[in-house]
Amino acid sequence: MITSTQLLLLVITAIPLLNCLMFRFCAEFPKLTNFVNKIMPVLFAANLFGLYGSLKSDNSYLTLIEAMRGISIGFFVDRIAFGFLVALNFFWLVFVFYSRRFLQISLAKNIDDLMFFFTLAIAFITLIILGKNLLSVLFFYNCLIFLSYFFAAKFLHRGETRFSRFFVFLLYLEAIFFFLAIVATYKFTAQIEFGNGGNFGTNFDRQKHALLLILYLIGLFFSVLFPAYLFYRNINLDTLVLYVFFFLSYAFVSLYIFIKIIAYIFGFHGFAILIKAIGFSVFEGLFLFNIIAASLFLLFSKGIKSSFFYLFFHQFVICLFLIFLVAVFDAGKVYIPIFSFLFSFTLIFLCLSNLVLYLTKAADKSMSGLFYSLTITSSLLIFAFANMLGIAPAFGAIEKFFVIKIIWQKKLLISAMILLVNFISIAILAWKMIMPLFLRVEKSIEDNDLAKNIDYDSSLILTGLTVAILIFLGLVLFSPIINFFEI
Amino acid sequence: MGVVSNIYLIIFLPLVASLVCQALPQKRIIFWFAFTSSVFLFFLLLKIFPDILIYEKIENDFELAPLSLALEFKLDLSGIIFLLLLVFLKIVILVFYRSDIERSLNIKNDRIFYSVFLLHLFALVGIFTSNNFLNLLLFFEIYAFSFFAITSISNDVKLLKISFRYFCFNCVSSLLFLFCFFAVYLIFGEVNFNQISENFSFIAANNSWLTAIIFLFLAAAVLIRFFPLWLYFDKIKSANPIANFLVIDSLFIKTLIGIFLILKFVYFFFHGHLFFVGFDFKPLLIFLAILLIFYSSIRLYHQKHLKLICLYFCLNNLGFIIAAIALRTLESLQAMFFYLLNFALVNLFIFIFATFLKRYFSTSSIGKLWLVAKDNFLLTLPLKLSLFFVASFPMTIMFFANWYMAYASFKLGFEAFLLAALVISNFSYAAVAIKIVNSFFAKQEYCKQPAKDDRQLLYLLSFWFVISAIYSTVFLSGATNNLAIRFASYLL
Repeated sequence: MITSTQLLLLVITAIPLLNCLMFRFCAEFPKLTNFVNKIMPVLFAANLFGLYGSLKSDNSYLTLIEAMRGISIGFFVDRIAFGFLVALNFFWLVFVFYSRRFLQISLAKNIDDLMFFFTLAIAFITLIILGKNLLSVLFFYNCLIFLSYFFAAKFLHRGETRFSRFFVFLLYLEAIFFFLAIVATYKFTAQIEFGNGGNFGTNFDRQKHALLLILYLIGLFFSVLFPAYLFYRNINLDTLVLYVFFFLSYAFVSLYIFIKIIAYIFGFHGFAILIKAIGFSVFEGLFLFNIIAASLFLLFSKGIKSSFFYLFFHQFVICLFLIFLVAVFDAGKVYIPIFSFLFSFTLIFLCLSNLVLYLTKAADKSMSGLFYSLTITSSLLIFAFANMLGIAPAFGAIEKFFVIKIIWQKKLLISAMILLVNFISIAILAWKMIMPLFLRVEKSIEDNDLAKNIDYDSSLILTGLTVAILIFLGLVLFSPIINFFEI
Repeated sequence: MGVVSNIYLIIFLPLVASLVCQALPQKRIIFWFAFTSSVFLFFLLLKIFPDILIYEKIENDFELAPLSLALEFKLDLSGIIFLLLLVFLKIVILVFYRSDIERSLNIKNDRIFYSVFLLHLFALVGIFTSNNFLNLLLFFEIYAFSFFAITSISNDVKLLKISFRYFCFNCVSSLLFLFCFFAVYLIFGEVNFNQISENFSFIAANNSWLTAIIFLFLAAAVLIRFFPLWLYFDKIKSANPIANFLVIDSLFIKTLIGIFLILKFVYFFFHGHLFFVGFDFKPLLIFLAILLIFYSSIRLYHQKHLKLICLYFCLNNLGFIIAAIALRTLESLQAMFFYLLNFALVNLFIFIFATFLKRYFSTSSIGKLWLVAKDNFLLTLPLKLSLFFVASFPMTIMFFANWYMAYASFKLGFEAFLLAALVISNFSYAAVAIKIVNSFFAKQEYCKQPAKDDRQLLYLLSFWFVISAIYSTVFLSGATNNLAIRFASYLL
């Protein structure tokens, strides 16, 4: 007999899939699809609200197919999954409201196609988050990779497609290593289920743990730790595509899986012991190389789209580094860098997309003096960069505070260098982007009107403002967030 | 009827049906008779399957019975699994090629074809049930005879030349088998496999060189006779239905028989003694397996023709099967079970789809898949559904195969190289899957669609029949895994 929690789990997984079906079968009724597209994330949120009450119940799992003991496909919800589902739901809402308006103004032809792929990606991400074990996660992760490939093939231009295809092949290589990591986990611990809090328990075996960690790192982050973009020039991905393809489908998902693995396979305590046993400096070296590479490309990038692309890799590497640092030395606060990265990058995405929209439509393609006509967008951009630097009264400041505290207390010189490189590169980028906005340049009446239209458009601005408010609230609410995840 | 009677029926049903075929008057009736006999055989096998699961093997008491063709049989767990797969395969190709075969043959040849088809089935059943060296040799010859009989009714000169070459190899193989037969009789004074197996370790210790020579000769004989894949490489892209029929025989049926015989000889005849204790063949076999896997994976990555893709998939699976035999652990043999399933089901599906493509669009290139997709949703849907299996998604046959193989290879030793082989082969599977899906999204040009005819219904039925069997392994994954464990435990 199916319980109410299991039913809720099924409904939550079905909502994005239903949305996809609506796109396929009701494409001739644009008003209906538009309405459904907006109502579905709201429904999703309502169901999440219902699920919150069942978080501690024993029925928070559902098995669909079981091949043998521990090898099954099914769903499971815990606090980590719930937290990420809420975040996903928020990004879904933001993207739906923002992107439709964005695409309408830019007179894009393939709005429905993009929304279809986006919703399908959301469906698979939801399924990954709700995966009851590593195998379920792998199954839906494979689906997502295939989807990403077709997304890249359909929406990207030739130059970008080449990079994206290469990136997807790297993702597939990752998936193979992830598979090997799961097999190794099963061999060493005889189970791959989430929900037992550190399968290794107290049986620390340095070699086995280290092998697993290496396999998981390659299986989840090879595409980012092996900087594939070094082999390509002038990558100018559309901001919407980058957000769906790289940010949601890759960064969001892999960070979630990694946190689950730390929590349920290694256990936070076991993870800390392992990293210390291997030597934290080994990981520091790896991240330092990556952050320097990303920073150089970021600083020498030309154009908003290109900068946004390198900024993604830059911030993703930093986020990963901070997860390692915080998980090892102050595990309770490991969710702060993750959510800080997710929200600050979303805000940057919204602001830069507004700028890109303006620049594509305006006669004058310069950013000079835009602060006076795109005031709200520019202010939000300044806030976003300040948050990234950790100097605004926002979530980013809390994140940097804890990180600097750890570095200071543990005297981690290379980590301090990584943080410094990050700070300097973001500061320079912010300077390069923000300074021209304040130049006094006369704009034509048409350009001014266009800027005002974008800046006062409810869909384009309210989404950004909401994200900014949440980032600000994070300063106040970081303690309940930490308590919610209860490490 | 008891199990033993059922087994007699299984052995002799195809032979009797083959003779009856000669007396049947009409084309349509001949086909339906052959089809019904094969299906009946399949259900008979299914009927005795639970008994074999319980007892692991059913054999006649050779102490009471004299050496004879009729009585000395043994049907064990591995044998029945192989037989089920092969009879299934035979039914599928019978339906799939029905209209092509009938169109290219007159009534007389048609009758010969179905009669020989059933004789072929009789030989197959005989090979899998015989528990005696002499019987085995006899069934090998019946099998070869029926194969060449089908070849002879094709009017393709090139195919006949290839088949003549194969005939020569077959003769060499027969001589080697005969030599082994005499040698075995001289050493053991027996031709019954059970007796030989029981006394093997004792007698082999005193005749180590002779047993080693028998082993080498047997290996050579099996390889020459049952793995002639390369001989039919040239004809793999052929549109000739008889050629396709024979390619399927060489690629799937012969290979499966070859694998069964290797297992039989390695695990039951030599009892693993010579193979793993006397001489350690493990590193050599793993090296060979890795070579085969790497070669096939690289070729797969660059391949665009579905038939050749299928061929390299088969080679790849074969590489892993060799590795599984060499590793000789419970997990590796479980992996082998799934590689066999993949070999017989997924690869067969790809091959028959490629044949269909070639038949209607004169190409088996995956770049032209959109041609079929355009107007034939139901025909292409099985291919789309099979992509999960090609890309080794979790819970698919290939996934479990890779899972157990990876599990068996996670060791400090040269077995670990198999992990690299797994990575590269999985990568190539994904590349193939992506190429296939890409072709569905390819820019469509104008192309004249072939007229629909009654053959399409047979193709449709065959595709859905195979894909249903493939998907049943997912929905019954619990039972399939249990069977894999039983299979592996039995071999060990």
